[in-house]
Amino acid sequence: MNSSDANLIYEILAGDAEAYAILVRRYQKPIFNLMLRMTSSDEDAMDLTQETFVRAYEKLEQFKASSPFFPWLYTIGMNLARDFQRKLRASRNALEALSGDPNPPSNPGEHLHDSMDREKVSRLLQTLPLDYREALILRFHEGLSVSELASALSISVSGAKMRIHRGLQKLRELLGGGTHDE
Amino acid sequence: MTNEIKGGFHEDLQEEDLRRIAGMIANLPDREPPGELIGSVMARVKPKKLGRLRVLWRRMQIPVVFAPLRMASVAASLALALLAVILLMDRGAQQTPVASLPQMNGERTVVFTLNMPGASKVELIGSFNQWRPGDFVMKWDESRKAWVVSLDLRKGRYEYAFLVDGEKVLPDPNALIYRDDDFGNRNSILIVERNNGHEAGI
Repeated sequence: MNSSDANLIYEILAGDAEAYAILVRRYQKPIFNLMLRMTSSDEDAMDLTQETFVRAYEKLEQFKASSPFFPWLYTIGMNLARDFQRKLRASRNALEALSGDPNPPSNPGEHLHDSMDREKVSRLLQTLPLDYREALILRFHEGLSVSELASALSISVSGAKMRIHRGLQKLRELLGGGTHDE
Repeated sequence: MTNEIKGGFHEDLQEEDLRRIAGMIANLPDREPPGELIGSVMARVKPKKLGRLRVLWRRMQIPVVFAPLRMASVAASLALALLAVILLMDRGAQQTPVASLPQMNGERTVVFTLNMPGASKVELIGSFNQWRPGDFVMKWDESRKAWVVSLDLRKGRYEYAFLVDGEKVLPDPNALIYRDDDFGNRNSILIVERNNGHEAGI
């Protein structure tokens, strides 16, 4: 059986709902981790991940077979997560974990080689504006092309490039690496 | 003059920092989703009932692997690895393209190199062959002063490493992104793109 995304979706639309389990297994991890970043809550992340896949299934007829599936799925997830955050803010339960103060940068003369670690990058990523953070994650962690990334975030290709570049620059500053210019 | 040199040096440092940050992002740990997730999703979906014609229409929309070469896309397709392996780029007269034209089956030819003259045997292993030694034995190229092997790869993300003298596993020193595996090794990451190379930079 050809298990490309496009073929699986074809099978699903032809009536084989079980084929969707393969797609869920294939993409559950990046979507779940997206939701963890958006909610900082296992329970909410699980609910939103589930909702993303169910919503995608319901809309599957609208999916263009010639396009990659993951960016489309990611867009659905992002929209759900944004709605979730809006509701939280409205009920004054803003997510401090996501919008809290960034940790102060490292010592100004310290080079990144010495100061960077994954935990720090992970923490500081959370302090970036959502769009920049997700652009970096999609690009470097999920390995999407710029055009796929642009599609996932519903922005132009040039906008995606700009977000990647600025996001990296911003992270570099936060990490204390922007200190070479004097 | 001094400022120019200094500026170039700073740009190099900055570029290096950005690459390292990109590598760090690639290496961020992922959490595993709860085991019950698939079941809970599947419990909420019902088989679809699309008309035959619509199903057939969908079938026709699925891209086929075979695609005729289009000259307009040739230039744009030359660069394929983004933030990944710095593919071999000879600057001499015998410049070898690192990424061939897209082939009829949609694959790209990627050239892997390792400059390790002291080694007696170097193999390429990776996710593209389930890390099986012996499949891709590299050959020493005297003109490039490097071990070289070419692979035809589809669009996607691959992890790989070099197996030196049958025992030492080394990441590609030219790769821009690495990922730590669960066995204490660092794997290099290669991303092969289908579209143009304007995306190759950070």
